[in-house]
Amino acid sequence: MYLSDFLFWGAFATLSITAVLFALIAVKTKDSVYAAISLGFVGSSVAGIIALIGFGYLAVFHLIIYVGAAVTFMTFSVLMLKEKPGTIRGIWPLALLNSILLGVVIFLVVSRVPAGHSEALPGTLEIAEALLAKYWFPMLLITLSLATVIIEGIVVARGGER
Amino acid sequence: MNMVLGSIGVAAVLFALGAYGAITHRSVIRMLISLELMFNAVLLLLVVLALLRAPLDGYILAMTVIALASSEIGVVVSIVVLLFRRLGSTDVTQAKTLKG
Repeated sequence: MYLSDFLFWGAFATLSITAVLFALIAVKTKDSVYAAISLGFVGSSVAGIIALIGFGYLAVFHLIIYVGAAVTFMTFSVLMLKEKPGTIRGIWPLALLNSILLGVVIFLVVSRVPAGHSEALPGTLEIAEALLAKYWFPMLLITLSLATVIIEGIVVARGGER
Repeated sequence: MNMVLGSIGVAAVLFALGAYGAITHRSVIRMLISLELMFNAVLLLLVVLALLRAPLDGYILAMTVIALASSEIGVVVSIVVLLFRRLGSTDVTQAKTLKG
């Protein structure tokens, strides 16, 4: 481990608290632009946690593709819309109960998953070889779906010219 | 193991907040943002489970999921923009065209 334990746990705690706080802002703020930007910060914090877990390459992928492209695209699209914020009245107690139950169930279920005979974390070369040889179809799917984002962006941009 | 439990805890809180937002908001964009919070939570859970069970398979699956979620944002935002042009609002209660 390159970081000392104190720095490691400090970074983990900071990223966790940041993720939860920005998620709270994304849900509670009345301005959709701030909500979209907060989502970007949540994505960045989650990418940081993923990197701390040991999946650095995946964290960079998440940061570039998801936060850098998708959330930014959403933020700039939200800027074009003049929407009035609104919530469904009277449903919040039910929603609160539902969300608490969901959170507790997820924590209890996933934390009881036994650890298997886990292999060592894969390196970049190993991931690249797996992507091009064994997992070529998911690679094709990733490429096509990212091309879809570009096409959707063009469609939105061309629609505004009418 | 503490880091695994901590990550699962963060994911559970993010998922709960996302579910709360998705249920209470009327705007499609706000619903999408809440659903994306839930996506981030599930991605974190996926990475934690990959760490515990099969790192390489989890790696590839997580990459695919991120790419698909990004394209999903593109598709949904385009639909929202078209909906806004047609209705002048992103309120789901006003979008009744597909109602049978």
